[in-house]
This record gives sequence, C-alpha cells and structure tokens, in this order.
Amino acid sequence: MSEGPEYFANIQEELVRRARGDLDFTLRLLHRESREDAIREVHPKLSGNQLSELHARLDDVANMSFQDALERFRDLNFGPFI
Amino acid sequence: MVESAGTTLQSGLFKQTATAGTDPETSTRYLAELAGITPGSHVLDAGCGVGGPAVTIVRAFPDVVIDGVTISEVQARMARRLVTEAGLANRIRVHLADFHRLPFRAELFDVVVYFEAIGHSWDRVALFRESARVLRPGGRLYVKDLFRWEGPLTDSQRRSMKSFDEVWAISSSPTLSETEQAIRIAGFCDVEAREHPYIDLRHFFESMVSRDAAGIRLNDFGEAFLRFYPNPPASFGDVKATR
Repeated sequence: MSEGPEYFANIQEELVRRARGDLDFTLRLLHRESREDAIREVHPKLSGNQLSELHARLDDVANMSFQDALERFRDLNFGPFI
Repeated sequence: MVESAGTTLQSGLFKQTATAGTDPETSTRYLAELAGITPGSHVLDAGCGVGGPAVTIVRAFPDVVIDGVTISEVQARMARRLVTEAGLANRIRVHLADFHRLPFRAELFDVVVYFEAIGHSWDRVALFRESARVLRPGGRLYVKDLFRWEGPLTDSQRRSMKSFDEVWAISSSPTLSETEQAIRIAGFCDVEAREHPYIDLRHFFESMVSRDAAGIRLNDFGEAFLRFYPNPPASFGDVKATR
C-alpha cells in the first residue's frame, strides 16, 4: 500500500506512481466506467474486497473539487500552478 | 470554454483572506471594491467577456452603469443575451470593439477595469493611453491579471510561458513591473502594483470537467487545456492607478 497522503493510504503504490506521471491514467481512475480497466492494467489479480475498497477510496478523490483531486496528485509531483 | 465556465472567463478568483471560500460573484464584488467602483459610477469593463462580472457589479452597486467592450462576436452575443435576460439592458451596454480604439468620447468614465484582459493587448502603452483618454481626471484604472514572474526564466520556464500564451491567445504575458511601467508611461499617477496573496482556482478547474454519479470526466475545455498544461511561471496580481 502507498505510504503517501491520507487519500492514498489504501491505494496501491503502483497505481499512485502511474497516476502521478500520466494524466490520462489519473482521469481514468476518477471515473467508474474507466476505472476498473485502468486498475486491472496495473493489478490484474486484486480480490473483490480489495477492488471494493479501492473504489471507495477513488470515489472519495473523484467527489472532491477537481482542483482538490489534482492537488492530491500534485502532492506527488503532478499538478497545476497554484 | 464559454459554455463550461459560465458567466466569467476569469481563471483566478481573488479572495479577501487565505481561508475564505469564494465564487465568481463574491470575487467580482471584491474586485469592484478594489477598483474603486462606488454607487453611481460609470464603468468601462475593457475585455468584458460574456458579461458576468458586469451583471454582478450593477446588481451590487446602485446606479452603476457599465459599458463593456469585447473584440469577440461570440462573447458580445452571449453578453448581450445575459444582460437582457437579467433585465439590465438599461444599465449595461455591450460593444463589439477593439479596446485599443474605444468607441467613446474623452473623459466619459469614472473607472476602467481590465479583468484578465490585458494579455490580449498587442501594445499595452497604447492600451492604457486609450484608458486615460476615456477616463475623467481623477478617474481610476484597475488591472487584475496573471503576470509573468520577474527576472530571468529558465529555458523550461520560458517554454511553459510560451505554451501558456499560445493556449490563451496572449501576445506575451507581461510582468507586474512591465505593466506598472506601461501605465506610468500612459500618464497615470498613484500607481500601485502588487501580487495578490489569496487566489482560488476551483471555479476554473471545475469548468474543465463534467460530473455524474460515477465520477469526473474532462469536458471539451478540459481536453483542450489540461493536456497542454504548462505550469507557467506566473502569479496573480493587480495594479491600481489614477488618471
């Protein structure tokens, strides 16, 4: 699991690393329709429970303001001028 | 972007304190106060966009009359519709014109404001001379914008700034001191320039996405803008001056 900020506490580190450097991947994680395929690209063998937990965490990020969502990723060196 | 951003095209909303929340209307009322707009003022909104700030200001300040100028036919059409729908056509007039050559007589206005507009000028001294022409003696000029950082930039920062200017159709983003200098050369006095410490970009970023129950998607504006996001070496600030 990621050791990063609270919102990433239970998000797999490899997902966070990929999101940090790839805007398209970040955006795919922020919408449920595209999220599962994105997750499976990185972690094809997650259990149902792990996937549910991951959805809940990523829903929290997607429900923030878009600026906040980007800031969460900016904390990991991705993001806009502010 | 016009469809996404609503009634203001400004990207950075000014707020009065670090912890204050804000929205376009609250920010515009604050800008109007900073600009020295008072009840009864005749105001020129130079680069008025789609008219949201003008509507907010006349609602907040009794007897204020605003002439807005935009060079965009699309913006002028949208602004006129907004003004008419708001029932404010008797207090806000929208003109399709180049703000370097204003269609107004000399000394007509009490206040001239530029809200994130001067970047579109090809000659800022000429721009501010035109402001000075249409302001009455003692009238106030107010410029709010995103300014390029002072001093030499790294190659990477220069590239970012160039990309930013291209995305926004800006000839060349000025620094705060360059803007201050242009205003002085144009004949203004009591020129005060500063970086503004409290900025909110939530409205701007929110305008880049569509939301539904399943999350966030980039809309057309987000697609056009965020992919070219250049992280420009620039900060928000304002300049006040007196004619």
